Amino acid sequence: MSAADSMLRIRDLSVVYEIDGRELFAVKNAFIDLKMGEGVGIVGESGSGKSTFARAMMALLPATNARVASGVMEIDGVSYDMVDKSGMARLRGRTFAMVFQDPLSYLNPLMTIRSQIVEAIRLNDPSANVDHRVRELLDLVRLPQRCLTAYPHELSGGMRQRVLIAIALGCRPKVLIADEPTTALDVTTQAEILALIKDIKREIGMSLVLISHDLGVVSSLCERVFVMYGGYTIETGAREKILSTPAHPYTQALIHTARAVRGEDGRFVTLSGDVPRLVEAGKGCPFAPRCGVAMPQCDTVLPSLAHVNDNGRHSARCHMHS
Amino acid sequence: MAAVARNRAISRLAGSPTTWFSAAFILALILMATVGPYLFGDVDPNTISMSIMAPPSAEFPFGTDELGRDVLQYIVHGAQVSLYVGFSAAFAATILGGLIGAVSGYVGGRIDTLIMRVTEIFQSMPTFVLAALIVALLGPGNNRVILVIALLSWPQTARLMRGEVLRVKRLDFVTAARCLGQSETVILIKEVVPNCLAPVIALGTLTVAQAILLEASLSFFGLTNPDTISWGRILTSGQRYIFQAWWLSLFPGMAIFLTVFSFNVLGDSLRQALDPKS
Amino acid sequence: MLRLFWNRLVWAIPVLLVIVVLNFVLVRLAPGDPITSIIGEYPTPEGYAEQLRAQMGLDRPIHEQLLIYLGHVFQGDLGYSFANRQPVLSLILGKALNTLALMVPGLIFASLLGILIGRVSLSTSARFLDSTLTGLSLFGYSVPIFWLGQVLIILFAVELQWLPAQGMFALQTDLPPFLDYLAHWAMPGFAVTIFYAAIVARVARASLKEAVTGDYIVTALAKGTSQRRLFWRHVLPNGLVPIVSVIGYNFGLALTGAILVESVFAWPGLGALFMASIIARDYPTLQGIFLLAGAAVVVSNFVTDVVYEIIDPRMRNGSRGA
Repeated sequence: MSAADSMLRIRDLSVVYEIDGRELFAVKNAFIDLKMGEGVGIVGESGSGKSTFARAMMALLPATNARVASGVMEIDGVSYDMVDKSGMARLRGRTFAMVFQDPLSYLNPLMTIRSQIVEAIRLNDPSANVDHRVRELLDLVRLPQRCLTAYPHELSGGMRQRVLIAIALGCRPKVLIADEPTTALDVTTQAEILALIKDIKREIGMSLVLISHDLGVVSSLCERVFVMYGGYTIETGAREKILSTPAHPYTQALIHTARAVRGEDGRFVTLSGDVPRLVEAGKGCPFAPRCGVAMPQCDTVLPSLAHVNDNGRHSARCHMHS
Repeated sequence: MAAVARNRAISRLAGSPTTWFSAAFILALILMATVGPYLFGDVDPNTISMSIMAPPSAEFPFGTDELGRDVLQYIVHGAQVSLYVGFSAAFAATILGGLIGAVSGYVGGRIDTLIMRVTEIFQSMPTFVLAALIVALLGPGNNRVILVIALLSWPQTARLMRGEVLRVKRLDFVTAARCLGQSETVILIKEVVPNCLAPVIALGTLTVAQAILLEASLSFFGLTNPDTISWGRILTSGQRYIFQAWWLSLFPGMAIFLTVFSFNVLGDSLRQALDPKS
Repeated sequence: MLRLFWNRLVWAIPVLLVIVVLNFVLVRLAPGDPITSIIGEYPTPEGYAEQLRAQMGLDRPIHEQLLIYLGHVFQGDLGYSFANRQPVLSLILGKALNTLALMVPGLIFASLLGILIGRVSLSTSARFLDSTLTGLSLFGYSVPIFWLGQVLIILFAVELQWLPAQGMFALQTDLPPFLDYLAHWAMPGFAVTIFYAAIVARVARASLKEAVTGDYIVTALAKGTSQRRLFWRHVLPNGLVPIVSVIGYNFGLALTGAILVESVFAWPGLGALFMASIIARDYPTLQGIFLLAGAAVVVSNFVTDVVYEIIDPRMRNGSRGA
């Protein structure tokens, strides 16, 4: 995994939740890397740790019972200890900005659209020409000027999501993190917002980390994919490789269910079993209980990350490949 | 499920030492008011001694008042009135408010709107002024005081009960009961109301505190029956002799404060423990 | 906007009407002849009782009497107080000013203090301070305010002799009037502040704790908002409606909320007048105070509603929730 041209590298990220006095891992030894202007997707079911991963980047984990146990981040050649919450919190805005799932609840109901966008601009660049930037951002997210004086409850779901994107871009971040940006929207609006993010990525060369459970959404916006399961990054590679030759049994099942809702025998294909919510450290492969090709060692030994092919750019955490 | 929830509620209740103190204090107070006179000999608190306005001593731990009466005896007997008025008024307010709220929330529509408007008007009344005015005009008497306090305290309970009924009546088991062909009145009484009681009881505990405070305020102003012994009334003497006899203010007021405080703590703890959301 | 204004007016009328009718009914419910109740044991001019009887229309049917009474109230004629040898209206308005001089600073301090306590409860690092303040507000919520006043007098006026025990101004003093007022205000003002701060703090704690869990707080943090700005710009406005509601409610009751404190400290306000009138059975004055108190509630409800709308744009389009 030598990626000298990466602008962002996160290694060995582990996030611990303390529940009833026990420490449980939501994210364990997870990683990503991202090139300038590139889009990468973190894919997994709910409970896979993908959202926790994003929140850890933003230092937005719930303060009461969650903490980053380990993690090193390198961005533009500067490295940060992710355990240092206040150090990471200083990167909010100018380094990372985030777009969230539910656009209504994530907008302040008492502030006009304009003042919410202006706040993002001012906080990260006090000397900015605010009027000019606001106009620029509105054009970028394809919103009419009249929205500026409106309040969130007066806009449609799609418009609100555009506002959230404008707020995030108003920070001029190095990396935009989008956490399920289309999940709460209806199908037509989903397509519009996806197209919008794609355009923005091309127009301003935005580097993007997309969090989604939907491989379709990820493959339309991202060049590379990181699959997460049970807190681990279990497979990573170029979008085409992951889609055409998935290496991990979990990724295979995921693609199988996404591509053909009906299997060869005409029945609905579903993944049986539940996602492990939080994992305790030191057990075997997290997917072993649901895995169709599990071997005895899978229950006891955690597989290490191994290259599959593609000149070392496609790797999987599975005993079949080690 | 219910048993587990109840156990969790009890363990949460047991958590705070303040809650324990409050529960113990209220229990001691109730014992003092009910069997106290039988245990320690029923002394007439109106017994007049030669020690007039004596400071606290071994004989009179809380001192004596301007007629030489024992302040401690007065406080012990005053507990009866405070608890009687507090419990009765809170009980009446809870029943009244519960009934009004339940009907309002269950029936809904225009009746609900109308009842809620009336509730709002009642809540806009300056409570203490109205209570003082009514008692002053109609004359004192414990039952009259209870009635007035109850009439002024029910709106809060009614609003809470209405909210709970609105929540519960949409639940599946109510629909199930309706499918079984039960009448609406039976559903309301047997299915809906029992599931709304927890927060209402917690509020009832807080209402006891408010009622005791209101009774003490009324008797402080000499608006209650001068023949009944009550905590607020000793504070009237305390006010008159504030420059000479601090004990006339300190001890009875402390009794009111600790009682109101205990009921407030208990009500708060009950509410937290019974709240399924927290 | 006009429609809303009418809505509120329609709401205010029944409250005032109920108070006027209660006034009317209560005097007639009192044992004995209303005229004797009204005049009391005071020396009156010859033939006044008969004049009053005709004026009130006591020989007419009860509904006509009510209309006559309403007419008098509507013209600002609240009767004459023989105990004070003054028309009721000018008597109570004069006393009301003194009450406001006691209550308004107290309520303002209490509101700020209550919000401050709510602010502290949000901080995860100030657990000890929070539980201390919560205990203190439970104290303020439970303490009989007249007893608190007595304890203050015993401590600061009788024992330490730092502060004057009674009244609003000293008869003879070298102090400038404002300092004299301040010295007299200190104890009753403190009692009022503690009492209302406890009430505001209870509400503020709950509503601010709720506001801080809002998703829009996460958005604000993601922009890079500082903790201070986060509180003032996002948390407080979103938690403010219940706080404003409780503050407005208590401002509405301020005229009579002072009754207990005023009588302990012999503050020459409406509360002291009320108590004196009860002892003197001065019914016209009592009725007038009750009416004024009701009017104050109606006015403060109106102001509270306007403040709601300033805070929350979502309330501008709908009517008040029933």
